[in-house]
Amino acid sequence: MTKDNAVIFKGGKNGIIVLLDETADFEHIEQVLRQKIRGAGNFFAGASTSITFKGKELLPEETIQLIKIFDDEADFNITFVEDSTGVVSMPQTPIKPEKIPHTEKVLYKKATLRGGQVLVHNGPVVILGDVNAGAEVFATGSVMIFGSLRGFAHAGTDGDKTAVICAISFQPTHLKIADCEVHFYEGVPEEIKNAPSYAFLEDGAIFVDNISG
Amino acid sequence: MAEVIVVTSGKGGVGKTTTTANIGAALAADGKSVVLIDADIGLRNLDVVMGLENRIVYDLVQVVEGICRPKQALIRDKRYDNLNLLAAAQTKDKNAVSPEQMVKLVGSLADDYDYIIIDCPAGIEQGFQNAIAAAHRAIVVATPEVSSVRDADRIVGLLEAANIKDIRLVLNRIRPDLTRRGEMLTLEDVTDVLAISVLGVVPDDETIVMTTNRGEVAVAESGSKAGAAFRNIAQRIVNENVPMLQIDLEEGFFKRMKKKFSKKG
Repeated sequence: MTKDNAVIFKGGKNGIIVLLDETADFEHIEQVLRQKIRGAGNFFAGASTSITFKGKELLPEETIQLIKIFDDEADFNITFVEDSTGVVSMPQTPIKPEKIPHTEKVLYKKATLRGGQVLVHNGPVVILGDVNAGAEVFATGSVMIFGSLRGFAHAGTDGDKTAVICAISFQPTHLKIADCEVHFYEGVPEEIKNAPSYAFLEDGAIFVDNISG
Repeated sequence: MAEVIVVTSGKGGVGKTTTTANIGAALAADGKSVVLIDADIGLRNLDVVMGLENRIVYDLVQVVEGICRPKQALIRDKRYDNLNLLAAAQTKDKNAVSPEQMVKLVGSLADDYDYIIIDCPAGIEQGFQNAIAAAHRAIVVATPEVSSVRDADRIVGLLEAANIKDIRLVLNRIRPDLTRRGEMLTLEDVTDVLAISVLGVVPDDETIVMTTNRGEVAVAESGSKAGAAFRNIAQRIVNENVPMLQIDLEEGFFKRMKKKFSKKG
């Protein structure tokens, strides 16, 4: 076993931190990561946690690539991926490694997502806090926000047309459910904005209504 | 051990440097020993605002490069003996210093002062990373404008990611007449978005323009409303239980009334 510090695992309070050597090239990192996960044996088995990549700036494709390695080599459920600064220019194409079992495990996040921060999750997301302007949420399930939605949310990223997006204060810039997208160029109507509302997909179009009906 | 506070905002021109100078002066007037560090390498201003431009011998970059000792580079303020400035270099850029060097520098001063206040440059790049590297707590300065609040939100996210937990808001340049008419964001509008606790509210005040141009600080002027606000903020840094200025109370009252009416309707 070679001693290679291109990839180092660290336990953080929010999950596993993967420290990547800034100077190492990407192929080398892939290789070392694969080796190290194998070397870890059953350590990751059945674990369900978040992953944070630190050290090296990754392209969105590269992030997906590394997550696939986790998926290939370990029985491991990734709940979400975040980068160290919260600055992820996260995948236009959602993370969807075919082999990750669709866990439907709910991610609860008690924090405000601020401008520039991105949350990606395989399953439904519940956020106890706001999603501010410039923040983005991607979930294969529904997105429920106990707070204000001022940014962008995409529910059902792998095509789930039954996913919904709801928020106590509903004022997103735009929304996406499965493959359907809606922009609020003129802002969200007052009656939607001022009452808990949700967006759902019907007949290929997104509708928004108050939750109380 | 000094408490290390970074004053930051994301957006430029919202009053970081003025806030740094005034809080520093107010703390010094209160008997605390204070070092102000201008981290805005290449675009230094804090020395000008404090009227110490002519006294600079060594700067931050020279300290980091080991050309002089940190204490040699400190410039004593004209008014307050226990207020010191470490000026930024004007001929270098942000990359001349690394976050690790800032941590080391601040560490070497920490034992001898009560407060070290770092004036952060605008933006979120290297200069920002340098400025926050050594900080224990942060003061985010925003003005009641949507663009400023957007940037402040981004900054709060980055500060949280950098594990700085004590983040307080200074809402600068507020105009009660405009907020009352609903033509300017109120304190509540801003805290709704930012969801951080408020350290203070500073009214828009021409004494700031006058004192800054003279190289003086508003906190030294007894008639200045902004000066009084900064004195209050400094007291709140030392001790939590200092009441807010009248202008924020007023604003809170109007907002409450507005809410009451809108609930009925």
